[in-house]
Amino acid sequence: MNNKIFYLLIILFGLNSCKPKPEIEPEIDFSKGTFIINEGNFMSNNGEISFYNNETGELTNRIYSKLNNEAILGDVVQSMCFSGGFALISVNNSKKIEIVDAESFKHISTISDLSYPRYIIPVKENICALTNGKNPGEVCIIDISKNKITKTIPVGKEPENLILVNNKIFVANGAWGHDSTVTVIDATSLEVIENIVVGDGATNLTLDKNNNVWILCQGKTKYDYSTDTPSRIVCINSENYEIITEISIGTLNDDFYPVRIASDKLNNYIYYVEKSGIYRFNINTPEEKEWFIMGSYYGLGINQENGNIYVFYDNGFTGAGHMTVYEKDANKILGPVSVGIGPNGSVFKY
Amino acid sequence: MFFPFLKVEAQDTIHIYEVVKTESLLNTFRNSNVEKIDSSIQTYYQNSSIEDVLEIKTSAQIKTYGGLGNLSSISLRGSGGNHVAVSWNGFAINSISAGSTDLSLIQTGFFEDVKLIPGASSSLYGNGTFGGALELNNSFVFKKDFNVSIGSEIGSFETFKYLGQTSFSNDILHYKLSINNINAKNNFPFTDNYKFEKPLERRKHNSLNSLNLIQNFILKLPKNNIVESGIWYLLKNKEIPEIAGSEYLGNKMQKDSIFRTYLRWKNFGKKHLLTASSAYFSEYLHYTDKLNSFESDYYINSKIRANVFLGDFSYRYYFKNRLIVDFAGFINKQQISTSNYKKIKISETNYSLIYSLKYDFLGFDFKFSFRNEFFDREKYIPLFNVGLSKKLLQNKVILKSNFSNKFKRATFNDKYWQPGGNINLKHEKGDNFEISFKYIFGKIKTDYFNATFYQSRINDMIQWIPIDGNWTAVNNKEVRINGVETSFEHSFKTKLLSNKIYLSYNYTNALLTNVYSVDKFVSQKLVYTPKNNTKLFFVSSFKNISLSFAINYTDKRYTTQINNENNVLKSYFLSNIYASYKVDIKNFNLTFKAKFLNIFDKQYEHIKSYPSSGRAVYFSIVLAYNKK
Repeated sequence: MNNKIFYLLIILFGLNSCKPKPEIEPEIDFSKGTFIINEGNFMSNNGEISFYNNETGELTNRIYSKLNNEAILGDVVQSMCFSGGFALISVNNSKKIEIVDAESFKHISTISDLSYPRYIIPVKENICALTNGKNPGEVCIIDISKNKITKTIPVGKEPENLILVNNKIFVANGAWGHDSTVTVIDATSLEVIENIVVGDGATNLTLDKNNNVWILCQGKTKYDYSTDTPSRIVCINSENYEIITEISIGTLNDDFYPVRIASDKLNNYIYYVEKSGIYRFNINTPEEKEWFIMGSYYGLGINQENGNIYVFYDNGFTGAGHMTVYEKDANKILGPVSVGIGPNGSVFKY
Repeated sequence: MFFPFLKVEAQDTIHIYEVVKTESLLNTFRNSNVEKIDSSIQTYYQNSSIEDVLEIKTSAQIKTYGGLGNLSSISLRGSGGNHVAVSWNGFAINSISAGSTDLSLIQTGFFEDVKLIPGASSSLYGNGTFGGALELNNSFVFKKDFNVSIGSEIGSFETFKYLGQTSFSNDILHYKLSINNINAKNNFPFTDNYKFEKPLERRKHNSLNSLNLIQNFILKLPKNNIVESGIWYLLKNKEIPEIAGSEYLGNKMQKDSIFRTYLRWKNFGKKHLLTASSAYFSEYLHYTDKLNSFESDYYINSKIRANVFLGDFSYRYYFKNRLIVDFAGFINKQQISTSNYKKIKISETNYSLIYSLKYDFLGFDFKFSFRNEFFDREKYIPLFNVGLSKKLLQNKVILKSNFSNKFKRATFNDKYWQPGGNINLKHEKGDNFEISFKYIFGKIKTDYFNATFYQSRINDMIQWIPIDGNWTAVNNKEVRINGVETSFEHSFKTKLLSNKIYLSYNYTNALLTNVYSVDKFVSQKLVYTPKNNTKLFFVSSFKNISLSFAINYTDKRYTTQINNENNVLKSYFLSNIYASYKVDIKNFNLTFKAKFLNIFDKQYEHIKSYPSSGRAVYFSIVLAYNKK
């Protein structure tokens, strides 16, 4: 019997000796193309970046893992930006920023000490701004050359997206209606210079060709229809901060709280994601909303070179999401093609 | 001689009061195979939660969030944690909010009789038995006896455990009290594979502090009456760590407070058994999180308070020992108060009637049970179980077959959680068919080989998916599971040693056969379900010394519904060694025990991003006094 046990152990341990071979590292030219932000499934550490070469049509998924010896990028990859020769990736639930080389996508360093990193933008060479935290929220200024946060600036509650306009950083405060303001920060002094009340749940913002800022306010929700407020888009003048126009979007109490907005500066359109699909309007006639693409979408991106619209379907966050590309006349030119899990948008390198 | 495993066999043969006539409904009419936890392994886990021992010597798969005291659930036959009905002395204890049972809240040493029933029927066990059932029972012996024992355990990762037990019994009563306290920092080292350089780190913000108490009392009254009661109290404070890969320490905390009590009355005669019982369970869960430790405000401050009232009666009649019929009724009133639901307070009442029959004819043992399940707002659900077994070759071979239909109610969270709860959910439905072959080759029943082949279906399986950006509960999946469970157990002696070996192999093929919204899910394997699983346990004893080892092999597991090799948890082997030495001094005995867990320091995960601990060592000492 003892011999039998010994042989059994040998067999059992032998079963564990089969290891998969590592994947061959791909050669990718990252100088121009579309980077797709795949959040991954919450708590599963499977967020990733995909890369689509607009010219060759080649799509490569999991570029971070493939180019970094199968390293894991993290949980809930929220946003990404380029600054200097670097790409900075905000990984929300891993509470970190990963810095990679913009040309090779090889890992360089990690920035930690963040409680709730969200969206990141370049401010100037090697300097980026990141929204972080909830109540109170803050904007963290990251100096890539020092590999650290050099300043934190208190802003409103639950800050989300931010945008740089004429050396000023506009920060949308108020995910889920916890705030209703836009904080304006001077990008040189890094001091708050204005707080503008725009509407419940300011979460995202985009810039048109006139340098006016269009702010998506998702409305207030406490999952109680009687206290919910409608979703709106508000346009403000980036110089005097006056509200130029505002429109109501979606349907109140439809359980949908929009978070995606993007501008096609080339053709003067503002696009946004609503419950039933992608909508758009011309910046000169914002009341004339147009149902652009029917469907249920999670992410949105606009290529400012040609005005192509990239829409992303989350596929239930349980398998690969889909990317589809349309021209401005709604003519589909690509897809749907499979990207990573939970794609929320894209970053373009021109 | 001290043979821990032989002790159990001895216990099995003890004549508990009027065993046959007062046997529980489940024991009398169950036809499925039963996996019992015996004392050869249980003795090392007296001060541990039940998932540790289930993982070593049953067909169960355990899904834990890594480390002592973290949320842990059981999976049988590829099912989820809320597809296994867990009961305490016959009362269902699954959480009414989530449907599953957190095994980390259940102490092994509190129960003398732990049974795992893969494929248990819904007609007997009720709600949510697609995987099976786990019974936690306290057993009683009416004989003159007095025991007191105290023990402590110290181990890796700043773990300190204390256990005290006392029991008293005579011809008419039995009383037992168990208390334990656990303090653990749980700061085990692990390789963080989710960080770029895969650094060796220590788990942080992972400490546990718990206090558990259970007491049981049973009294024989004149004219064949028996009264039984129990109280179970638990308090747990747990720091919840961040997922691996996170650069943040975390501030999540969870506090569980549970109180359970029951009272049961039995009256039996030569031909009948009459039972009535009632129970009250109260559960409180407080989960908090804040972004910075210095902040006073929580950004998550979730409180769930649940109350459950249970009542049942049963009348059984024995017809000349060949035919047994039983009629039983159950009532179950559940209340939840939480700000997480749209209505702060929600209450539901369920009723069920069970008709059971057992008949021996021509050497066949036929078992049938039928259950009507009634709900507040819905029609009843008919549930049935048909089982047939036959003993052959002088009872050396036992053949069994069983067919049952099953259901699981949508949980309170599924229906009422805001956002995403869906009041219009249908119940999950399905069925299970199995046949088994058992060959008893030794002189004792525990020398056997058993093989069970099963096929299960689950329709309208509930899943949370994002709809319009909101995670929403929907009836979304159809699942087909087939598999084989095999086990082998053999006791043998050499000149000096008494030995016992247990070996099991389980094959599980669990497939999503349809997902209503996304056709790509068809024929994908269920997440977190290993196809192959093997367990080996060997114990060898010499006089008062016992040495054991256990090996567990778990196959790779997919973590995404659309299976992808980039999202799998690797297969792993776990190897443990156990040793004990007992010294008898008149009425006292002193037992020294040692556990060497995960001796090869394997880095592995049950749930993706939640590392389990590597090599760990625990030493314990127990001083016991016994007077008969």
